[in-house]
Amino acid sequence: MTGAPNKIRVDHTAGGFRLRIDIAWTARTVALFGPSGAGKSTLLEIAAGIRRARRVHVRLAGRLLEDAESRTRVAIHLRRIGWVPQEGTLFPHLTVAQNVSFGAGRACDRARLASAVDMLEIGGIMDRRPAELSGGERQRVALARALAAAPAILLLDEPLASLDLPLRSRILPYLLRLRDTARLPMIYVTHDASEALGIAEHVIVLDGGRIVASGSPDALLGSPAALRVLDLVGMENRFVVRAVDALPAEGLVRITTTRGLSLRAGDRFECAPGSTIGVRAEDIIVAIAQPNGISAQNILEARLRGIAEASGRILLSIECAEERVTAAITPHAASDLRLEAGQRVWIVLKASSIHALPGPVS
Amino acid sequence: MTLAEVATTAAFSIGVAAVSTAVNVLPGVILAYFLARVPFRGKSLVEAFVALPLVVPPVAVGLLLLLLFSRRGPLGPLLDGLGIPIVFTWRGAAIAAAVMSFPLLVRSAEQAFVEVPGQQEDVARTLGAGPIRCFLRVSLPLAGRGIAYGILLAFLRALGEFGATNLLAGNIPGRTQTLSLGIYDAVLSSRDRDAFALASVSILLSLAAVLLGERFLRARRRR
Repeated sequence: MTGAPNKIRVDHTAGGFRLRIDIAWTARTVALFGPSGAGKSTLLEIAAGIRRARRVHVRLAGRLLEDAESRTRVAIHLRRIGWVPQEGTLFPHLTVAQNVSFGAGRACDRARLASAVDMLEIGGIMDRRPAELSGGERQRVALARALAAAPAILLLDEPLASLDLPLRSRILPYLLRLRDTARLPMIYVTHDASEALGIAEHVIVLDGGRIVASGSPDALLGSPAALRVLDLVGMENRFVVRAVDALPAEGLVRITTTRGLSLRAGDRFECAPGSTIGVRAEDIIVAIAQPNGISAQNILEARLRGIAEASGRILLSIECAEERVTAAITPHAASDLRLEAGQRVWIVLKASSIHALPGPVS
Repeated sequence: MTLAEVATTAAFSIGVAAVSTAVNVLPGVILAYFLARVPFRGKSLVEAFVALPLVVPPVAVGLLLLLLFSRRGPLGPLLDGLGIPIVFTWRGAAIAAAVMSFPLLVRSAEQAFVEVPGQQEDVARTLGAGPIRCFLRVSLPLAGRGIAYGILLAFLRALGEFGATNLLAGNIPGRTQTLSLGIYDAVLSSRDRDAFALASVSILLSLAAVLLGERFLRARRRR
């Protein structure tokens, strides 16, 4: 792929962590996917020129930005890179309008600015300061600001990570609009598998500072290496299917796992005995009394075996049939429920939160 | 001492403090930014040198300045030739006050720049801001409160300067006598009433400066 418009080659060691990447791609939208600490943000910062690396070659959107061998290094402010870090980092002393037009000055392009404001629907909050905005608004302003500066490529570093689930689903359409309307090349960093697979044409899977898989979303779902990483971060719960029975009267299928867990999914759900299904820990609702009058198709009696805290959320280890199920709830919910190991609980799962994953666990 | 004389001394003190602070602001802020952001060899040496007036007895600093600016010093003849004498003039008082208060301004401003998140500047750079624009539109305003505080501290330090000023500018009533020098003079010649009058004025002035400064800083914080 010597003619690819995008190429990053880097061998960089810092604080005992080694990042070794050599990748070229032609797709417009690429996702950098991997667990925390995989080196995704570091790679993005090297690409933006914010972080210095000694052995480095960066070509983005057809422009050579950095090459250690030929001692080429384009200054950060001339790279035309729209970098949106995780927290957005709006300038707190400027209004939204001043933030958005911060980089627009060089292009003197009012139309571009207006279209960025339109696309992210922030016209109504232009006079406010960042401290007066909600998390979602801040992220939209940060995106508009990057867009208004007429970048040649967008580097988005987990733009949804700091938002809670309902907010994510509200920002996601803006990102898709950005991808489809602005038609800018984009590198999208995420540790969320569904975001990576849903947004990008090409997914690069990073783990421990190296690329473990790279390809189209479809191709990746068949790659055991990618699935292992997916397993690490995306789907905490993976079960092997023993039997699938249609329940035509209810428009559902019943899936029985090898360890006796019985789940109901929509009848268009495709899986076969021996295949793997996955459920996100976040998608599992935990109740301390049997829920009644609820639309969810799966209400299962279980026993709570362990409680652990991990990166701001509470992970519950639950025994259901013979399977171990991991559920993630907020610390607030955990303290409300006064959960204790050994206690009887019910887990609630919507039919749509069961996902088919190709192939057995390798 | 008449009221007019007290007022003249107070005005002279304020003038000297204001000039010395004004002279310090630009080099102080730029130096602070470099110390906070640019790694270079011998940085701790520069920092120690800047802090020197804080730890060395003011009279010793005054002596060094006197050696530098006197007729037999390296700079004295040159400046005298240009018609800008330093020793025993108001300029001497301003220079002494400036040197003594410089570290306070630099240290506050440096700390303020250190506290500006580096990512703010990084984002500004990726948005196309070159180093100067990035400094003027992001680093400077974000460090503004700390810098303003440093300026206030430096002004107050300059207002109370005594040791170095005494050596470089002398203590000439009506010409180089600041409030501090005036108090000292009055005490030595047993003019207790004058001493108390000057001391009261200098306390009131400092208090007013602190209150005004605090009010300004609080208003900025609210914004």
